[in-house]
Amino acid sequence: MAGILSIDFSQTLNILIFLTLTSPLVAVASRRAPRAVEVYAIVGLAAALASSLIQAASTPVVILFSNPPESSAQIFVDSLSSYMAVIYIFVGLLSALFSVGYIEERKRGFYPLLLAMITGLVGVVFSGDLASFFVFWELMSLTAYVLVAFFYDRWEAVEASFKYLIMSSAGTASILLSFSLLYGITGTLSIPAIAEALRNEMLAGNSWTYVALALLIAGLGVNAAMAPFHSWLPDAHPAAPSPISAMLSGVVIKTGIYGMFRFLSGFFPPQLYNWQLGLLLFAALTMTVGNVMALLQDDIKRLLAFSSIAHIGYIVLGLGVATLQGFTGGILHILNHASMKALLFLAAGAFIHSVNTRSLEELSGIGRRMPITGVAFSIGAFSLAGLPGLNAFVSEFQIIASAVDAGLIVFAVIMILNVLLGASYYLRVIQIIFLKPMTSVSEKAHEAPIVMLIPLIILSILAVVIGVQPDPFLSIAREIAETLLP
Amino acid sequence: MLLLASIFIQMLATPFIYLLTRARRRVGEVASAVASLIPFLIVLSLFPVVYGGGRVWESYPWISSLGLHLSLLLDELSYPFALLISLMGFLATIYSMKYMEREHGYESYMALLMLFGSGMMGVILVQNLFLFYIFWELMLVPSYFLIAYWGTGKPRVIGFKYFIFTHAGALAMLLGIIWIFTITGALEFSEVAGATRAMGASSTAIVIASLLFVGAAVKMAVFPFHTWLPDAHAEAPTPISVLLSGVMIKTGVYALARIVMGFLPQAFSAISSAVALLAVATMVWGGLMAMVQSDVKRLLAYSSVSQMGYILFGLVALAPVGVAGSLFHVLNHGFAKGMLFMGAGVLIHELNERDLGKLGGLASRMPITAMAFLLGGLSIAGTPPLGGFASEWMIFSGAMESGMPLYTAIAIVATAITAGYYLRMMRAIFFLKPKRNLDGVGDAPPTMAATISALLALVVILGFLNYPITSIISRAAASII
Repeated sequence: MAGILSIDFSQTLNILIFLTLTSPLVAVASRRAPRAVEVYAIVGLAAALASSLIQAASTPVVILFSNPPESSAQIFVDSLSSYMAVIYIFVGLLSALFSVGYIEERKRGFYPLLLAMITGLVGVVFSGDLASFFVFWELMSLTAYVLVAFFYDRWEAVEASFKYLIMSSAGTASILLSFSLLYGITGTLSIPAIAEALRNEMLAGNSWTYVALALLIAGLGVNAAMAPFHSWLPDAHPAAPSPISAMLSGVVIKTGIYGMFRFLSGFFPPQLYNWQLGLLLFAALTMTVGNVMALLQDDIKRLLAFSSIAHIGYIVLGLGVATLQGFTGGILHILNHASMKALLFLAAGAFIHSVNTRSLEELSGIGRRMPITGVAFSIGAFSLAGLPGLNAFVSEFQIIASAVDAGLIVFAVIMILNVLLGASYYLRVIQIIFLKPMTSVSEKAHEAPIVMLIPLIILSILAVVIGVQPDPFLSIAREIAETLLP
Repeated sequence: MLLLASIFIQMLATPFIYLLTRARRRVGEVASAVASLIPFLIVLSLFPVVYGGGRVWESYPWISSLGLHLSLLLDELSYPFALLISLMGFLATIYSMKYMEREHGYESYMALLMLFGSGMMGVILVQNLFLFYIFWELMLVPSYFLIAYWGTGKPRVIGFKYFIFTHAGALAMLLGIIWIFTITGALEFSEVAGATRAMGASSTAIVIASLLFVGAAVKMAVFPFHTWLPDAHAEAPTPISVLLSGVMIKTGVYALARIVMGFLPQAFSAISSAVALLAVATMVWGGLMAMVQSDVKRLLAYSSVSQMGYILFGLVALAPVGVAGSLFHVLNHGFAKGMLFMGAGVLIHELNERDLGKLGGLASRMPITAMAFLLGGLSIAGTPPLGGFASEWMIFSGAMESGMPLYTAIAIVATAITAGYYLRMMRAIFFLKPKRNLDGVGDAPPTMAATISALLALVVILGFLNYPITSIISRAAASII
């Protein structure tokens, strides 16, 4: 297929682009048998996951589409890109699997969109130049807007999608402006070449580079839902179908985080541009807003959405500390939060699918009727609440340790207080799901079908595995952090 | 392997016990009894080693990127705690079988009970701060569910309070642990100790010691961090009250002795005058509050607060005999308070009554329970020749030795308060005129009576035949100071 198009996007992205291009055809051809497109998407994603794991073992890859490199579109895959791609495809595969039980209408429209979104996500992290980055970024964003409004007969979904579109487009515009400034300053769009050019004291004193930096942080911050750019997220994530919420909260917002890790460390070395304190303040604000707002929710998905904002705050804190340890913690927390938030949204989706309500009040006691889903949900909740022995604790420990190590005790204390807030609302949800008496709504629930349970079980096992044996995952994160911080 | 087994056998057995109890109740009960007996037998079998001055040390590879091993140590300091936890865990399991017979979700209860025991054993035996924190929180989760699901009164509110209070304390401790990690670059006890001792009483060391102290103090329910305890211990299902009041709060004592006093001795002595004040406030406040309770379990819970004040007082005296007294009082109070809660459980199980004002005249109907209440109360009040007398004597001598005559006087007077509320309770339950028809009311059913009798024997024996255990404890105290 590379031969037909005579362009090579590297193996994994080739597969995904092929899937995205052909899946509408499969969807059209399978009018009589809508299951065919499900199978096609799942098998294709499984192949892509296998390919991304193989590729992760053999990075880095650089593919140029023309010469010289400074003016060429290029694919650049290093360990950070591969790491992100594996997470994206893994969560995408599990969401697709879950969707088999969850999405009952318009399957033929759903799976091509999902595939296109995953392609956009992977394309963003595989891009070696800012133009490709932007194209894939828009692919990801556009499909995300559409998927948020998948239930277009509900006003809530349309409104949320519209709000998301407006805010996210403003963010994208900010990114685009930043990219054009960077092009103006350095005369190239190639990410390695810009990184080379900006690493000098002269440019570090130039006010335009700071404008570009600020625009970039703001634009990526909108995508990552960093406070005060977060207000679209608590509307958009709950309105989407649950597997899409899992994708949005689990991985789509991590693209902004990826951008920050890539550009802030690559283009704007912290020792020259001193963005740390600014980011730390954003981080403290983001986690506090997310956690305090999550305390007040009655809608289970809205609560999870606010918790995502809080966890973005933790990751940004690790980034803002800008030490090896902080980066390690932040990078590992990307994986931990992606997997656990996917777990929580999928489990919440199973509840919603069973009784068709998102109100915590009405979901009381549902864990007794759906014990496997309930236990999986509790594992995810306890993990994100920072209970040791589960995965999120490991990365939170690293982040707090890095803050203390860098002498930023105040931020470490803020984060610890936030972890306590997080524990209190997650405990509240667990209490509601398992310990409260059942309501007339939750009594009618019954356990989710096996195809929806499989992703939950896989993610729960992952939580325990990383929690108990974090060593390999920590060392992967550390190696990536080492490539980012020279 | 022995120490590893003593922690993980209950954890690994958890799912099987859940399934077995669900399928065949009796089989599941036997399995849980065996799973909780094994750790006790292991600890008991290692007695000669520790008594002979040896230590049991095991180490397995774990997280190499943080320089961590899964290392376990049973030495003279951890031994009394391990003994208390494993024995009380076993007895509480046996006791639960009868006591919880009418409750629903019995299979989940048994599974959580196993997990709870495993968490407590882990806290005592692990030898690095990371694992210590993991097990510290692993105790919390099952005990939270046990309180919030099977508790009485308003269990969910009380469970929530319990979780958030102790979790907040744990996070303070976590910050201290992380701080130590960033300063010393190590988490293993053996590597941390030297580096932290070298910090002396610098202001950083004092802040870290205070953070760790807060974590331990919340668990120990030291005034003013105690308010979760009377709720949680009074409203938990009784076998869990036994474990909470008898055992779990002692892990706070262990944390204080092992980590704060062991790693940051000078910093701890710098804050010791404040801690001593808290200790005295705890014992007096707990005692006064116990005087005015009308609920049996609430009275016992406040008594635990008060007794934790004595234990803290002995530790903060920073004299070997005082520390030894505290460690010995951990055992005496653990056994006696466990027995008292079991006795209260008999009242609840047989009469469904726990209000002192509505009980009475039960002495002739419940001789074993009456004996348990009398001896347990007297031991805690420090009456010779029972176990509590010996340990309180040691605590007071330690405090006098370190020049705290005023506090010691208050502490001694406070034992009169202790005797006061226990005798008042005895009188109300067993001797006043019955307020209701007692026809057909008998003593505890056999399994419950058996567990109570076992503890009854221990409470008496520890009064005079205590040399083997006190010799271990004295060495532990000498190693801390």
